[in-house]
Amino acid sequence: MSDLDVVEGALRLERVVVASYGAALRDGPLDPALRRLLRRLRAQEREHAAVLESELDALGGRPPGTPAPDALGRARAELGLHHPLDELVTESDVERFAVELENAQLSLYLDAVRELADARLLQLATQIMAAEGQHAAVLRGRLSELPEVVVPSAFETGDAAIP
Amino acid sequence: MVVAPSSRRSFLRGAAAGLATLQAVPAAALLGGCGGDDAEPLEDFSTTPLGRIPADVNGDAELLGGALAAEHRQIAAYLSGLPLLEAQALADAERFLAHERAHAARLRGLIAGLGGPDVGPRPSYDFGLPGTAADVLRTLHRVEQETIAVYMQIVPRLSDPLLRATAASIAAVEAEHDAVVLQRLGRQPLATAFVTGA
Repeated sequence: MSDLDVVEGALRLERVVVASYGAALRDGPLDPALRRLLRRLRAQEREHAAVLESELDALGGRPPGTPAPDALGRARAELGLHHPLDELVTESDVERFAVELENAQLSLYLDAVRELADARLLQLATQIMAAEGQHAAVLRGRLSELPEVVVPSAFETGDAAIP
Repeated sequence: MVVAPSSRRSFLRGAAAGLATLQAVPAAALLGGCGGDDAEPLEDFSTTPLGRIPADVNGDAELLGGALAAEHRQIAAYLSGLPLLEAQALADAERFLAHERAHAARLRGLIAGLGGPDVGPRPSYDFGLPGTAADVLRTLHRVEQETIAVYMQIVPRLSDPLLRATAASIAAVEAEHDAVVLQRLGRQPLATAFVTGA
């Protein structure tokens, strides 16, 4: 897989994640602290997307579009995101929804680190993966105080069970 | 071209299977701590500030040695700080210490598999004189950041994709530790979209 393919795949997922956080902010039951958290997460995912778009452009690639709201469900399903958009009934639902987003990104960036050839892109992927890990830990911390839930493994793969 | 989820998962399973076949580390080697280990400190890293992997260090074994040196320092930091922690912060630190020991054990096995020299802990580490739980947490934050910085340096320089994946997965966990420590300090755990450890 070429660096272009990896970056394009990462950007596609980041854009779906941004749109997903948008949907949760719009439709989910959120107390002020959770709303602030989701806004920060969305903002950081936007930063990831912006840098990836710049890198993709430098590689000569064409950036994927952001899915329209009525296409978001299908775009999510294509990327293996299964938490229904219309089942954000409680704050825990929203938090689990968000953990799934972060897990998907962690998994993708772990693949990216194996696949990428360019050293600068490798460093970028590692930095973003670490940030996604922090996102996941903070979200898991809202679902449980248990350390084994908040940081479940010594080796992050994006496969931890959603609490 | 998007990697379909099923193939993405297959990449990860392949990576995990590869890691599982690496040389097992003898049980005694897993008990790394503050000194008392037969392994010699790697001279190159003992004379450089932690977090600065020399530019002329290029082999995968040597690069992983830099990470292992950082893990030894983290283990020492957690061990020295535990007595001042309580309740949730103590529970977190005990779990994170177990993670750091797992990292060290994995790195030692990888280095041995590459035929590299073992990297033992330094005889002592200077963490100042923390007097409170908050002092300990600030020290742990600093040490986690420095360790993250080491991994950010070595991942792009590792030639083996499987080793890069291991290092990146560890770096992510160090970042997760740091986020929790910052929360215990009452600070923003998600300070940046690009975690560098700087």
